[in-house]
Amino acid sequence: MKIVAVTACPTGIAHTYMAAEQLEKTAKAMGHQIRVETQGAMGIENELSSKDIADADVAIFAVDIEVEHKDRFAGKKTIQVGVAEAIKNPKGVLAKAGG
Amino acid sequence: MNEQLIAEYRFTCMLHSGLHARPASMIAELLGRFQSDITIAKGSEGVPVNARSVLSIVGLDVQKGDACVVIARGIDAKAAIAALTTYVEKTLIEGDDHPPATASSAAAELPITLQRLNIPHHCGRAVCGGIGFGSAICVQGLHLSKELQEAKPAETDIEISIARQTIAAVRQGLERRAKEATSRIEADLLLAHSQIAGDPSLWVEIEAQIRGGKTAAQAVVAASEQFIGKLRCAASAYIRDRVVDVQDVCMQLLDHLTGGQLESMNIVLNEKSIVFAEVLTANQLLSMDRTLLEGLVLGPVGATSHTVILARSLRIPAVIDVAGASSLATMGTTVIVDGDAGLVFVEVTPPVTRHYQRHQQTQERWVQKRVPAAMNAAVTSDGVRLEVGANASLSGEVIAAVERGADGVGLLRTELLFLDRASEPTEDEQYAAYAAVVKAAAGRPVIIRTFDIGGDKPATYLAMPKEENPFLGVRGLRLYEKYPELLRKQLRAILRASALGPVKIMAPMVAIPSEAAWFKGQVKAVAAQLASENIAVGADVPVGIMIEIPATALVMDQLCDEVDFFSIGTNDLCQYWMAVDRGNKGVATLYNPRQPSFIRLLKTIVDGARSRKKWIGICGEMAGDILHLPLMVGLGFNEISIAPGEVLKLKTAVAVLNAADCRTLLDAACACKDAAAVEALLRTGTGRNTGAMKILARDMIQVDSDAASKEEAIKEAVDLLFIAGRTRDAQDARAVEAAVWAREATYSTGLGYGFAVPHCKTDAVTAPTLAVVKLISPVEWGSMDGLPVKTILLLAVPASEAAGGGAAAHMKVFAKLARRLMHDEFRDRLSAAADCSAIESCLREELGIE
Repeated sequence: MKIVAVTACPTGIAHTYMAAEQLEKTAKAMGHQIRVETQGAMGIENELSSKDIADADVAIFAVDIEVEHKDRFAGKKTIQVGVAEAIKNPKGVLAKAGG
Repeated sequence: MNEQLIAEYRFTCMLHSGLHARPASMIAELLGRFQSDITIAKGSEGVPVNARSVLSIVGLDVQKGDACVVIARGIDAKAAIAALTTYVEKTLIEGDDHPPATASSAAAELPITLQRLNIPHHCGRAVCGGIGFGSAICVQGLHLSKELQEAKPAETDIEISIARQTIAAVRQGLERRAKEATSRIEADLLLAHSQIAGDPSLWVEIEAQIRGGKTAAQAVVAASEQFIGKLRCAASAYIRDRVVDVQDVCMQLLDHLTGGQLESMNIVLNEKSIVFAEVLTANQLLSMDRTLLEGLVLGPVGATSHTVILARSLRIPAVIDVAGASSLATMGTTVIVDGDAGLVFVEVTPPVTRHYQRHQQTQERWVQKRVPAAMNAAVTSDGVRLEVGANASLSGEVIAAVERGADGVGLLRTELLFLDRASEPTEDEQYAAYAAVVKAAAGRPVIIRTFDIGGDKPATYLAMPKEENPFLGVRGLRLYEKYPELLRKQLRAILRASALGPVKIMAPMVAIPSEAAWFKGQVKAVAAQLASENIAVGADVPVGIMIEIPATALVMDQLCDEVDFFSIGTNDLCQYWMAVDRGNKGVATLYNPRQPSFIRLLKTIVDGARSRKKWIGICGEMAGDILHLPLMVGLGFNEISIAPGEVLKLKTAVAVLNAADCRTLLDAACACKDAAAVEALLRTGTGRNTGAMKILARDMIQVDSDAASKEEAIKEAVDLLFIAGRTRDAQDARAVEAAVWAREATYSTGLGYGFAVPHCKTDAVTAPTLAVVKLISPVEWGSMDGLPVKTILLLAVPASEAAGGGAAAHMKVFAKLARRLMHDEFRDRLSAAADCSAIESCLREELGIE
């Protein structure tokens, strides 16, 4: 499965990156392809291209705040969870996404 | 013979605060108009007391909901009861506009560590920082001097008549003040006090005491002690207010009886003590053994009062504006005063003790880290020197300041020698005081300011006329022509002391150049006179002036022709500049040295002095605020002079500043539109060269911490930043702690596996920092996996830097750390690292920090 994800937490210092790492690590171990964009204190990093989004089967938002440029995902199958859930239970989140 | 009439009235007290002084005085006054014998009792079983006595009514301790029984016996009993009924049913309820203030309203000020524990405490206004532990000493303010205590009474009738006249005079004064009072509450209070002064029970007691062989003054003290004792036994918390009322009234009686010379006896301390008092004079403070005085808890004495200034200069933790200060604690019990947060703990429990002991250890580590560097000159990173002097009144303070690195005494206030006493000090007495200071300064310069009496600092023996507006009247130098002898004696004493070390003389309240010239002439004349008497005097003693009147700013060139140096007194300068009385709450926001116009004024003054190569310092409170330090450097002062307790903090903060950046900051501050913009600018940390502070440093790692809770662990981590100077001061450290907790409130940062990453973005931290604390015993953190936490990684970023992208490199380190923490092998390696050096190298390697 091809997955794109966005992680974002209020301070953007720690949990944004933890969630990104957990999703990447777990998805790869499960044999999925994943690209994760972080929206943290440094702004947007690993920005998803429109091609990334178009090619993906599902988009995961692991966020506690509003996703920036959400319109990019219009029409896409998305699931939204809290940042903490992605850190705590990445497998469950991926399962929810259909993986 | 008239038939004895009896009338009775029962009512339930509906007043929120019970029958406190004001309603009680109303009832007593009302019933005083009738001839009948009238009693009031609490409930049908209660002991009836005189209903015309405020003190008796108050002493009943009637609370909301209590039943009261009033019985009148006599010719007009019915009329009295009818009047009372009308009063109670119509007026008493409406008049209850005085809900009690509760200490708990300020609970947010409790240290975070203690907030969840529901710790009983009292709040006040913090005026001198530090933590004091000690045994409570309650000073009731009603103490006669030894002389008056041992005085023999005149004939009984004479003493009684003196007491009667005194009461009448005091009541008259109170009633006159009540008429002039601006608010009803104030007027009612003054009238209530007048009622207390005229209270029949009080008079019965005073008269009995006099008949028992006491003077009128001794009788007032005895009677007040008796009533205060009675009131204290009452269960109600509001009784404390009554104690203060009785005390207040009796103090006024005593003040009148002793002709305004009420001298309080020495307060003897036998062990480490915290002194509780409504009011405390500077002399009372000075009379105490300061090696045993650990803290002060005072009533409404005023943050700018002499007592507070003195407490600050002696570094005695002090909290003022504490409700019922003198009766809060039980004599001899252990209490704690937090002079930083403005808290008083009279019931000390183990968590409070533990918190403050740990807090004190942190403070000590902070001091130890700074003392060695403070012994050297303070120089900015680009080589600009700033002298850091101390403001002092006493040689003891100078010794303490020198130990903390003071480069000299930037302001020696001499008023203490002149105030709170019956006669002026002699030349020799003054010489001894100045000589002690010069010796204590051990070769460092001492600026001695000639007496600044007047304004808020009157001296009784000078018979100064009452002025409509003393702050704009005859004070400071303006007084000298009227009292040439007083000035001459002081100058002789100062000049004699100048033979012992470098002394400079400074005049207060100079408005125009001719005053400065006149003053310098006086100094020269006295020096010549001393020379003719073959008395040793220092060579070329510099003469300078305080800059505290705005008019001087525009004639700095002319003033430079007259004097050798300047020191800016920002407290008065700001008041006079903004036309604001800083004690007036209505205009307090204008009294702010961060007003851009005020900063521009300072720039004009400093530039005026520097362009003529004259030495200029600043000795006002503005200089003592570390937030202003970059401005002080930017302005180009030669010296800042501050409270002895602040010397260490400010002197060691100079090194991280860059003078060129500070000048840029100054220009930006001058261009700001208001004080809030200036404050925001200063908080961003511009002007600081924090490049020297790396994101990871050995002193940011703490192993084997005995922190026993999440609260303690977070505080310990934040205190690492505080000790290392990554927060400006203790207050900012608390702001970092609060920011961490604010983040923690969204959801726990415990990420599982025994790790937590508390973090924050705040300008209270001055450099991006990673701090590591490893605990001996894990603590509950509300982690994702429910397991307790043993390793804490605190990430702190200055908000303005994070927003401006200036910290990108640091943020990358944090992002990398966050990602690595998701991997077992990293966590295992970090867990295995047992000491600081192993942790440091682990983090450096894993995170790629150079």
